Amino acid sequence: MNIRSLRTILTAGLLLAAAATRADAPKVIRLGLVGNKYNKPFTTSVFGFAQQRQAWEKEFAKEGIKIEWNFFTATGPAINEAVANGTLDIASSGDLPSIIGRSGGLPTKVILPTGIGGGKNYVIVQSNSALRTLQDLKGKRITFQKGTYFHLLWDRLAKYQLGATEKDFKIYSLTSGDQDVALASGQVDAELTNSTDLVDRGVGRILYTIDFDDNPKLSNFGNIYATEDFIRKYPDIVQRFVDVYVKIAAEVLTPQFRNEYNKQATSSGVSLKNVLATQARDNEFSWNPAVDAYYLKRLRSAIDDAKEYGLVRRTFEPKDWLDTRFLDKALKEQGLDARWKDLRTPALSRLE
Amino acid sequence: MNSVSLSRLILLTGLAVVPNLGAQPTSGSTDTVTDSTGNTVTDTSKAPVTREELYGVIGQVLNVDDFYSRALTFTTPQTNRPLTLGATIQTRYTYIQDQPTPNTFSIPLASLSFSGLLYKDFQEGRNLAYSLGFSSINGGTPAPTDASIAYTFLSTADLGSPSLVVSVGQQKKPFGLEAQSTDEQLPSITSSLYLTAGVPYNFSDLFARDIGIVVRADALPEVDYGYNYRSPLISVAAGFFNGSGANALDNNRDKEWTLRAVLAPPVDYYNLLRGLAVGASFDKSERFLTIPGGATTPAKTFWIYKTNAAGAKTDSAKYTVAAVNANPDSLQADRTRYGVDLSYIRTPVNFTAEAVYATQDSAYWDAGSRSFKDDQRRSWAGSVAFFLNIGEQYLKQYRNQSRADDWWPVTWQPFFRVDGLDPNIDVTGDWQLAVTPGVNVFFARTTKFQLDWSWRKTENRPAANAQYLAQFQYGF
Repeated sequence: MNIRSLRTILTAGLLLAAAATRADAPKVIRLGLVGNKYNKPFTTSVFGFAQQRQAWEKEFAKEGIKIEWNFFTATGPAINEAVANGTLDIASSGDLPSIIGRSGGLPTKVILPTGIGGGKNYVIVQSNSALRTLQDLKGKRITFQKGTYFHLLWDRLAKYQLGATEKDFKIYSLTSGDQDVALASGQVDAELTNSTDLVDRGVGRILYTIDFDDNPKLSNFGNIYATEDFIRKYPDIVQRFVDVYVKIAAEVLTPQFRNEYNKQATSSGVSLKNVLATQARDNEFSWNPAVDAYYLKRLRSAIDDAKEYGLVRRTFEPKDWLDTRFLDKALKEQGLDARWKDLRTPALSRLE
Repeated sequence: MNSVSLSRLILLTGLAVVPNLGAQPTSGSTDTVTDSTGNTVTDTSKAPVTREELYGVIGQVLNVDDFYSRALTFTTPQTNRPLTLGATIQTRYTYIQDQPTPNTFSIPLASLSFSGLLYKDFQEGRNLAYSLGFSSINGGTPAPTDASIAYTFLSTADLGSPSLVVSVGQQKKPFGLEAQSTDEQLPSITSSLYLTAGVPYNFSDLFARDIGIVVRADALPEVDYGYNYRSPLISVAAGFFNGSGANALDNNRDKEWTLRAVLAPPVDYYNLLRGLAVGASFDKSERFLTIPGGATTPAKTFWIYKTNAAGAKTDSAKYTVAAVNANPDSLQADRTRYGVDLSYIRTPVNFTAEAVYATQDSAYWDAGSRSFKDDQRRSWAGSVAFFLNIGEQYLKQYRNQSRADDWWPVTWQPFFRVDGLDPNIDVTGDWQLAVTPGVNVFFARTTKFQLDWSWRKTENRPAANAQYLAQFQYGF
């Protein structure tokens, strides 16, 4: 047998093996997203526009692939549970829950980063509270939902602003709707939230604003990830999924689109006032999906901080978690590889 | 002034004092902002509201106010405390070989449950809860099932804390695995033989309830916040009951003790050992029993005390019989049960195994010597079940989703169970065996359809007996 014959046989064997492990298309793409306290099955930002426009439904209509939208009331931890039990293909959640999942062994790969380094969160107290500064919160009853990005945010806030740890407070882990009830009824002293509902109703008062644009070292981000099994079986489907996302991102992440962007954000039940109060200064800076040095630095920091605060047992290398093939191809084919490449680079120094 | 009038007044008064209300939008009333890229962006959200628009909003608010006021007054039931009302109904078709009525429709269970909090501790979760239920079995008179009050002594604010709950009232005994399992661990319509076989077998009361107190505690919980998951390394429960069964007055001097401990490995949620648990149970009781007489005599009641004739406790006179008639049936006294179990509940694969052993003292009338003699019956039983959850029925967080429609994840649950019972180890030929395959389909939030086929064989009977059951279980 000559070399050419051997190569032909090996190639045929590899193709057969690949065909055996790949199916052409799934019947349904199961998406998992963070729910909201208003119990509305809608999301925001680029993902929200894709939902609103039925972009993926249209993209996959010709093969008869359905899109299943799952909005989990219990947010990131519920998404982890669903992924662990094989009921989701692609999911989006905050930095901490997705990192906890990966740290514990969830077979996922990040295909798109989201929400990097912009927007506001608030520490809210009762409107008549005697608490005035962050220092006053030591030893007090604080509520947020553990296991979500708020958990990492609080631990960072405690460390950087107060030189404290989680143990210096009494933490009550509640979901967002219950947090409002607990604060309004005086069962807790402060709430870490991205909602200004209580303030708008006159029940709460902003004690401290965490502005990620001003203080990027505190900032969180999100990840869109697919299961390794789904990527292995349907790489072409993942590619088209990312293509659609990138195309919409390129359209809606512009200043001209800001009003429509804000209006779309209210579909999940958040008031326009709240949207304006928590939005990033520059949507394109925060929501462009480039895997750049800024994002990689935030990812590294989130993994290390989660370990330092005892939120995960094991760390891992970001490069082992990222699968940028699909994003790279989408950016190149849509001529966007230069548009976002260096957008966040000037801000890198602020992370030091 | 009723609430509707009051709210109208407040709204209209508020309307009058709002400054600049009704001002027409002026040129440039929309704001412009400059984002970080230097572009000017129009923010129309800051345009003033017109009087017409505000009246429209007020009208909508008043409509809602009217609707809820009327509903609260006329059509909404009210209670003094928060209440969750539930119901479970079973509608069953049964075909049993070699029976006088081999095939029949029935309503084996119709139950109502009421539960809620008598006191809610928002801060620490030290709640005081109540539970009340009524069941009608096969169309019988409804009788209380659960009737208990429970207090959570330790804070539940943090998943990482130990727990301690004490409940008092009529409730299940904390013994064994299957006897107190929820649907998640109990997929079949029919329970294992040892729980369904009637008196005088030594286990059948485990499925029933009794009146007493149960202390449940756990410690060293493994917490995985990334999944909102909590699994204590050790859980214990201790029960102290009358020992006379549900809805019955006490009929003995001593109490029934039940103890159970469960160990689970300290692992994260995404670990193959999650859901593994090993349990051990112990139960001891001494009961006054009403024993029907034989065929030739009327029913009699015999009283057995662990005391002597003078009423003092003593070991030398184990039984004192207060009433003796000729030809009585055997009398029952001390009863001790031991149980061990192993479970692996990790959707989609689930496995349970359980073994129980019991001794039951009795005395019988020996016609030859015309005296009572001691006796002890020994029994044992075992059950092994394997079942799958194909679907999301038992992913508790998955079920809580924001959906516009009446969505529920359809789940298939095929199962296979083998269980056996030897009601008297010292008697040959009384072994019973049941092999039960089946499937459950959860197709709505509170509704499932179940199919069971159960093949049953008793050692000393030549023919096996088969049962076919189809059942809807539904409720709210």
